[in-house]
Amino acid sequence: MRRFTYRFIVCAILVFSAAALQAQRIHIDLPPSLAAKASESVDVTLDGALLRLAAKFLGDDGDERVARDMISRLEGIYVKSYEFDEDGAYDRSILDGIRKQIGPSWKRLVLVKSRDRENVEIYADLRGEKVAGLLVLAFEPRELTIVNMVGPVDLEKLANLEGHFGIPRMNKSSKRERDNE
Amino acid sequence: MSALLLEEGDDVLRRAQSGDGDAFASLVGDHESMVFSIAWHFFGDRNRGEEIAQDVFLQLYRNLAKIETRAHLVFWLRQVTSRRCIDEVRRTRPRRISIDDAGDLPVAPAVSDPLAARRLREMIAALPERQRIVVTLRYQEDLDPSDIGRLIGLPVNTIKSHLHRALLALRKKMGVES
Amino acid sequence: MSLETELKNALRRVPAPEGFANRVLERVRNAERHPARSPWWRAVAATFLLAAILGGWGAHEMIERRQEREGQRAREQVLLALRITGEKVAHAQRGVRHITR
Repeated sequence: MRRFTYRFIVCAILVFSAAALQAQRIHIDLPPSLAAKASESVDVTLDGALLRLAAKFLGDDGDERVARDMISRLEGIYVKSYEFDEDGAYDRSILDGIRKQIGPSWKRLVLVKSRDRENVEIYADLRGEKVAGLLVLAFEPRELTIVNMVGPVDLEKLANLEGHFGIPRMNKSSKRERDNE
Repeated sequence: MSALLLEEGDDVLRRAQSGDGDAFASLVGDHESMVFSIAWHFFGDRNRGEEIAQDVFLQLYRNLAKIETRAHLVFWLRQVTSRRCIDEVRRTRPRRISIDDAGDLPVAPAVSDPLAARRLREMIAALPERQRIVVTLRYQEDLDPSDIGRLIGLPVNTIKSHLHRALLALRKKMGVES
Repeated sequence: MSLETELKNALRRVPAPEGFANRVLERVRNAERHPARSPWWRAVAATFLLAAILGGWGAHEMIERRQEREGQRAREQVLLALRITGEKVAHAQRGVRHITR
């Protein structure tokens, strides 16, 4: 009986953990025609196993060290990004299907709206004070990018990626503003 | 360019094609700046730029017989360099260098603000690969969109679109109103 | 100065690194060297030997190489994903800073 109870508790923990993990992953289901219409497309699917494999091949210096630190506890990174040659190549309502998956534990951190420039929405899955997932929606007339990170995302490191991975430090004033904050 | 210069250029090419090592060295010397600069501007990395440029000239050596004229040589070098750059990016993401790690870069002829030029090159190196090569060919080699389209095998409207988006992105990044 | 002028300035051709042409010629010379020809029977013996060991160490080597390829590909994908994410987050930060100025 005791053995049965013990096994039951272990299974319950595993199922609960799996369910919690499932809840954090956002399924980026987009119509296949989108990739066909795009002039450039990116599709990244990295689960926990692939992230751990990648970590073994990331170097010890510079950007690769930053990358290794960032992914060290993540369970998944999923990116879909498309560029199009014309405005209106995709229907923005497809983003509603992604927003519908955002559960009650998710909070919107940033909303940047523009009619003809890039819009950005950033959501974090907050469990107490801990981040358990991240969702980024970035869209403009000729580009659509969706990023989902599963696991404890370091928001501060993410916010300081300018100057790494080829992300330009836009101008000195932006760095000065950050230093003065 | 005079007819005499054209003849001389083609003569060097013919000699290189016949196995004259000095003639091939002369072709390398004449075009190394162009090839290296395309690759360097594309990757923003001197070592990467040299690697690609060397590969291009090795490929030229193996394909010398296919080159018809000096003008064809220039077209061929630009085309192969552009394609190698794009293929390399797709094969493996380039190692990025920050403005602080740029180190010993070759000195370009005087520009109004070297730091601004370096920042601009970094921004260009961060563009998507097609936009990057289009901008490089347009402003380094002064090619028009139809020439660029022929070089990299894309329709001229697509080239114009890439150029337009690249300039918009660069203006946005520089904080300049279009 | 217009953006186009700045681009022309920034993207001017630069001299190739010193010794570049010599290094190209060295590579050409290396590429031209042919391996020494072996007697035909050595080639046959080598083939049999290779076939004998392929089932063992050769297969292990293939698995290692495949894992290396997969690992490198995963590494590239991580760097790509972080670059894209970082760009979007940076854009969002600039948008917020612009509003709060």
